[in-house]
Amino acid sequence: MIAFLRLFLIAAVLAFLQAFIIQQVDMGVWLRPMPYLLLFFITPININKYGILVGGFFFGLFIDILAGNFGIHAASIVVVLYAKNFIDQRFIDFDSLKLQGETYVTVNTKGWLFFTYYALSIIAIHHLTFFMLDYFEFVSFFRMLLSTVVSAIGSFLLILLFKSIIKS
Amino acid sequence: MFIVLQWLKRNSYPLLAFFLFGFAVNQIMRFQIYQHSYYYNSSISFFRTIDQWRNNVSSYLNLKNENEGLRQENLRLRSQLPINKTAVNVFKDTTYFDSISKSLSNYKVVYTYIRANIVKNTVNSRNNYFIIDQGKNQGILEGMAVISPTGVVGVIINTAENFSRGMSVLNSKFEITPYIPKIELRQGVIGWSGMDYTVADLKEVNRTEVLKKGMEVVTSNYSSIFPPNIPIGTIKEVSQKNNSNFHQITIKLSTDFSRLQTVYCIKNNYHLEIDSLSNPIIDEVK
Repeated sequence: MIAFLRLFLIAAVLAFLQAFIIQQVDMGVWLRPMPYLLLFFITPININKYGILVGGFFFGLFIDILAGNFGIHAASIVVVLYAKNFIDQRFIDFDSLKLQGETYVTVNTKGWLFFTYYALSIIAIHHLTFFMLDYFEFVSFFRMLLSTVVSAIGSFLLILLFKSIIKS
Repeated sequence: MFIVLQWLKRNSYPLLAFFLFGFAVNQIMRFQIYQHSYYYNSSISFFRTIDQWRNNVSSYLNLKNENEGLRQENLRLRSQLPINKTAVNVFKDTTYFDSISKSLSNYKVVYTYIRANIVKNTVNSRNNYFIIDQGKNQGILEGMAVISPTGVVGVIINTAENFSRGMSVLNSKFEITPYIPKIELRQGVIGWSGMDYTVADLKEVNRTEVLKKGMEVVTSNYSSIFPPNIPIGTIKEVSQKNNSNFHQITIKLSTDFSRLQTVYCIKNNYHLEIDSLSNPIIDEVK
């Protein structure tokens, strides 16, 4: 229960942070980090996947309401959660994770390289969906890709930073 | 039903994801101004293209009906032409506005048109005839004039219940008085020599008249059968014989008799009245 409340609190903080600080700071055309994805990296993997999907959707809607994006974050989160579930099923060994006493994937699970690939691919899927819905035209495809790459790196670094803050 | 439920259960997670994603995208389309306008502009142009394709196909398939509609419209417009109407009592109106307001009641309909299709036609005999798909039941009477959209065709000579036979211009017995508008000449008579279905002869035009190639020949207002100014043809050739007082004129017929399809039968509503007045004149002359 405490773990859920903690997650809830982190979600609220991340949403406000995204809507009122990160989105308001001008970081250039290409860099639009979204560190709120941290929430899905610290959500226990063994939680009901339907619950995570619906919860994530409402979390996205909440950010959309705060940021005035009307559905873009929610749609991107639904896509990334569906993809993350697929990736977790394929690449994560749940039993060894349990033996290590972890509930979600960390750097310690399979090392830095794996975690970087894992996190960046999930972030990239989210960002690509986000920018596709945001630009909404095929003419800007390369701009979309560039924004995705640059913002994914920014998000990843911020996620690592916030994660270290939460741990400490 | 069981299979459907099983399938739904098996795919419930992707279905839920799809539903949530669809809902979110719907929100974007509804509330994001840029995405909303882009989506609706694209979909409108897409559906317009589809509409255009559908219209092209349906208009091609409806060409027959379209043609029929145009024929009917043409018929109606022909009936409204001023040459079909004769002004009556126009001189009673002394003020301009009176004449405008009474303009409709000041006209009487002289000619009535009935559309018909040619079902049989000859052009190679000495005396050529045609048959149309309208008869007594449709109001066709003997002696009615027949014209095509391009010019004079002939006269109805026999009528059955639903079909009628007409004598075409390409008949040795057919004669018509012409009018040459350029020199305002109402003289001579047009007949067919029996050689070429594209030309006819204009006889009995005084050699003192100055005629030139290309002059238009139309029906005269002296005819009680044909309305005035219906094209007959154009002068193709003018020659003179030394011992004759008349020109020898060849006219290129404006109607292509080898391609006759749609014709209009014209009834002169005052034909009998005109005839009843003409007979005493003839009697008096006699």
